[in-house]
Amino acid sequence: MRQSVSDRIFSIAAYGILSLFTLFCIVPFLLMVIGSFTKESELIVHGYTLFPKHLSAAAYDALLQSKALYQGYGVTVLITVVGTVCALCISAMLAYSLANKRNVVQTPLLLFCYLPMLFSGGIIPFYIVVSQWLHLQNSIWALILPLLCQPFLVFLLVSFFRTVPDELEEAARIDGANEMRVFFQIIIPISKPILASVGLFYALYYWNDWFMGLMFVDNEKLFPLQLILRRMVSNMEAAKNLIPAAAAISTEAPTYGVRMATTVLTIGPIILLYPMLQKYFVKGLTVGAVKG
Amino acid sequence: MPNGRGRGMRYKLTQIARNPFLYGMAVPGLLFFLIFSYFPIYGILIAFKNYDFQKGITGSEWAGFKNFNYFFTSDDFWTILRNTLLLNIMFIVFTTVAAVIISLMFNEIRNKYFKRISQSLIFLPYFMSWIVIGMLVQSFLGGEQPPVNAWLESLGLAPVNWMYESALWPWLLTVIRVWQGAGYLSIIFLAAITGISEDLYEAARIDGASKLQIMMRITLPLLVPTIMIMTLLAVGRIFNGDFAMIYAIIGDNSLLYPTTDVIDTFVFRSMRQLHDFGMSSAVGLFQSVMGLVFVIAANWITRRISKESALF
Amino acid sequence: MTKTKRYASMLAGGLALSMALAGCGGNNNNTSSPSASSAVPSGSASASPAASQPASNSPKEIVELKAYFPGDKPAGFEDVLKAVNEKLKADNVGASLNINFLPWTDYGNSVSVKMSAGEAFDMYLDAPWLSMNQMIASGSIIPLDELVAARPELKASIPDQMWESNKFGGKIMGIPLGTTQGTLDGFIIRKDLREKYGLPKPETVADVEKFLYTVKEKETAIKPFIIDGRKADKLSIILNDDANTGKPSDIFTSVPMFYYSPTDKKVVGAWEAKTVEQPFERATKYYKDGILSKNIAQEQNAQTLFNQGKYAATYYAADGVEGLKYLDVLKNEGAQLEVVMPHDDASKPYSTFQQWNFLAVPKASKHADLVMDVANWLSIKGNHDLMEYGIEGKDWEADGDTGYKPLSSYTFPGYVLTWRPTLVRTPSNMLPDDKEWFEKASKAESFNLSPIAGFTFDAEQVKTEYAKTTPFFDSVFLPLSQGVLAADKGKAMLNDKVLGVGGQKVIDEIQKQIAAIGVGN
Repeated sequence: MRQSVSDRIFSIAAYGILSLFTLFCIVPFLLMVIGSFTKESELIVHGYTLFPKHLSAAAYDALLQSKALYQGYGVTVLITVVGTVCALCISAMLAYSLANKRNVVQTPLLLFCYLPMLFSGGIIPFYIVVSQWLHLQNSIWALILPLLCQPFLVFLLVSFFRTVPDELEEAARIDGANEMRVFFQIIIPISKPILASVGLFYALYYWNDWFMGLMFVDNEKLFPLQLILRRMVSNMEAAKNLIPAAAAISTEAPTYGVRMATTVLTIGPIILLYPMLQKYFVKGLTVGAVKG
Repeated sequence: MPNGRGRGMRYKLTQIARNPFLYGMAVPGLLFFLIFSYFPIYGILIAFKNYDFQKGITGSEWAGFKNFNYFFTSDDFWTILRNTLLLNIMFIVFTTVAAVIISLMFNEIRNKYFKRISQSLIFLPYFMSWIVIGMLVQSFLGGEQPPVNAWLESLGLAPVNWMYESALWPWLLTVIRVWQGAGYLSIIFLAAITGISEDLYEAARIDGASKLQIMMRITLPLLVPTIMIMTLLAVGRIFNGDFAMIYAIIGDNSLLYPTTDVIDTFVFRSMRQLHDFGMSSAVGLFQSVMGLVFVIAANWITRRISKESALF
Repeated sequence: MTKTKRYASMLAGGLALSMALAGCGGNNNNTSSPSASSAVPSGSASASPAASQPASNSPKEIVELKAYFPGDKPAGFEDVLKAVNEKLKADNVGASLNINFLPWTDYGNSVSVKMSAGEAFDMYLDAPWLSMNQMIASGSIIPLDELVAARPELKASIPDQMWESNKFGGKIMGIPLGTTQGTLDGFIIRKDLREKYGLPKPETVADVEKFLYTVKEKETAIKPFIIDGRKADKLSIILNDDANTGKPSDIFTSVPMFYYSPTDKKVVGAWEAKTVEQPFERATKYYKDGILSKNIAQEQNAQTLFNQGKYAATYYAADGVEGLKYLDVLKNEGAQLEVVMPHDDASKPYSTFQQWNFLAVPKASKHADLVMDVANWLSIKGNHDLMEYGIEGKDWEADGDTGYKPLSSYTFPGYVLTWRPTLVRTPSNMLPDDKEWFEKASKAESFNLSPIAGFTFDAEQVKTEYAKTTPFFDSVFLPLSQGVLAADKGKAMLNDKVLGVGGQKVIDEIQKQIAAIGVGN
């Protein structure tokens, strides 16, 4: 292990900065998780703390009593898996084509894909297209198709594909492979890190979406998780202000706790996905390993 | 150069016919944008219409630029515009810088477990909704005796009247933004760094470069195209205030409006009594057009410097 | 997509939250009017409600009616809805209900989008604070006059005065859903603390003030007064000595920040309205003296903090909801509550008798007749109780004719469908004070007809100016009501700002519309 002094200082600085930032990120998150298990009145009167005096699972009780929630998990897992796979395929192919130097209509197509990020016709015509032209309402596809391609992620992929050395592709083409084969056999394998992160982001889009469900689905069996939770939270707020009998039964609806518990409930499964994908970002121990 | 620039239509068509797969690959994605973004685009007309629920978008009467009037002649127009741009610029700059530093540092770390755990943890704030974040901020900085003030006092510092001091809030919001978004952005940068060829590092090490030198001469320059793309994408939305974030944190505290009120929160308040699709779409259209102007300008400049880093 | 979402949350989103609060101001549970007035004895629910159609013995074909309402399904809703649909079938109404709840925050937007797209559904909740005026203007919802006239139970379950005062352009555009007939606003205070300091029962704002200053001076753990920042405009009402007395004063036009002076027959802004002068002065003083919390602009937890016994007084409205929010106070040791309502027997405050919420039928519905049959059916006490309180014996039990004891957590949001002044029951644990005032507020005789009754503001002609003045409610009027902005300075500021963006045009338009309903002169 031969390391120069400056390298060692540099390493220490890297550990230091990252430790601090990690701490900075984790403390509020912990406060939230613990807050979701704290008695509502204690939260409001005494604020958030890592060591609350009275623990309470009231927020979880309120949320988990609904059977619809478990169904919602099912729907969300399904649309996340199907949606992410489809979205990743479509976006990666599109991005590869757009990033390819031999594409003669590159600029207009890039612009074509960029404009939707800025301009939208608004909700009314969108609703008409999905429900009256495509007749997707009350179908699982209403939750999948409208999110299939995000310009932001397409551009992320484009920027990565641009860095792929031309020689790789040229060599394969000389062997007589078409772009499709080049793409699947050469480009995909070397693009795992970016595909993993874009896939993760697509999974997040699908996982967190409630809007499509709200607009296009009346059938409760097809409600995604986030929509169910949103309805519950919204209803609890309303109950606090509007519904007398609710007040008569339980005056203290844990609205704060429920908001936080909602985050904890939705974060669980998706956070498991991250470490699985992480191996693609942590590409060996590049710099040091060889030396050490 | 096999690029289509400056060549005729016929050339382009033959190129396309000759490489069906290259263009075919783009079709599903292009079709998606056509159906879900370009078919409904006629909705933009609503900004120029007196919207009538029965007549629909195309059938409603034209209103000319009337829907734009109220926003441009608003009392606080310039303040709001300034706040929107200033906050967005601060968000973009600080989040990007933080994310770049984080991803570069991760690239230097050798302890696999530290790396993995820390990477997962900094991603967590991204999952917290703005409403929950707003609740935490309110709890620590608000109330009659904010807990943060108790800490300040125990350190011998003067307490701060957080909810009155509008000058502090652009910075507070920036800190919150960096905290929430830097982890997410650093994943993107890390993915780009991972794509950098090992040979380059090898060569540098043989030349006896220090870690810092390797970082500054290899990693960072190769990260620039990704940084630029991310920044350009953000520039397009520079006129769009982050309503979800700002409303969740600032809420209805009018004392903080002078520095935190952005276009989107202002429009929200203007439309509280009058729910006019036409007027709110007009503002949205203004934001998009301005964003487009900025992004095209920024893209043009970027393109002159490095084509790899430009959006289009 | 991000944009679509943004509009979703922006347009309706924020509305709904603030409106949800506004919505509760006006409509509430009511018990008062004796059920005898409805001409339908309770228990006779099986009588065929479909009065408009010839009675026939053969069972009708059942049509499913689709409804959109804000909120979420109450716990146990499936069972109740099943019972309702079975009973509808047994009573041969020919309809069943398919109720879709949309989250409050998204409700307004979702419904207008569905309307715009011409989607067919049969009923929904609309209101002037949602998009009712636009819907009426565009002919998207249908007038119900004839349909109501043909349905005796429905007609009888709502007093004539209430039907009359809730027409739009002379027509019934929705079934008015509400219980109280006007607003009575005051304070709810800790009776135990007042007695501890030997103060007599407060009758006036000045008495309350004395109580609050005493608490401020003598209590260490309990602070004087709390109200949510967002609701602080209520202070501009309750801090006026004459708020509930009906003495000559300027009347709120229901357009935020604008008032009507009945003596001058003139519309005035909040900066010169007599009725808010005293409240602004008082708020300024209270804020300075620490009677109102320094945190008031940001306060969102008034209810919980008051319930936790941290404050001595808060805002009260005789609407059947507000009082119920504070029952937890009684769990604090020795705590007692009382309502203070500056009001005497001669007092008769003004009311426009306007309700906040309406059940409307879209033009696209093919079953308007059936919708009204169901509304009629729900106006029969037994059916009404089934929908609103759930299954008797399981979800609730009767406590006399006008009370009930909840047994489960089933809580149907009555303001979307079932609220009828003649049929409402109050929960048995309501505070006696609260019940008394609520009953008073439920009687039309408690109020004088407001000189501007019948006026609802249509901003179409001045919408540019109106959109420009609206933000000053949040940025100037609220801080002024909270005392954060001193009265003299704040009023001058409001004056300058509102008139500076063409507010005079809004004033003139309100003036014109009030004159048009025949009271301005």
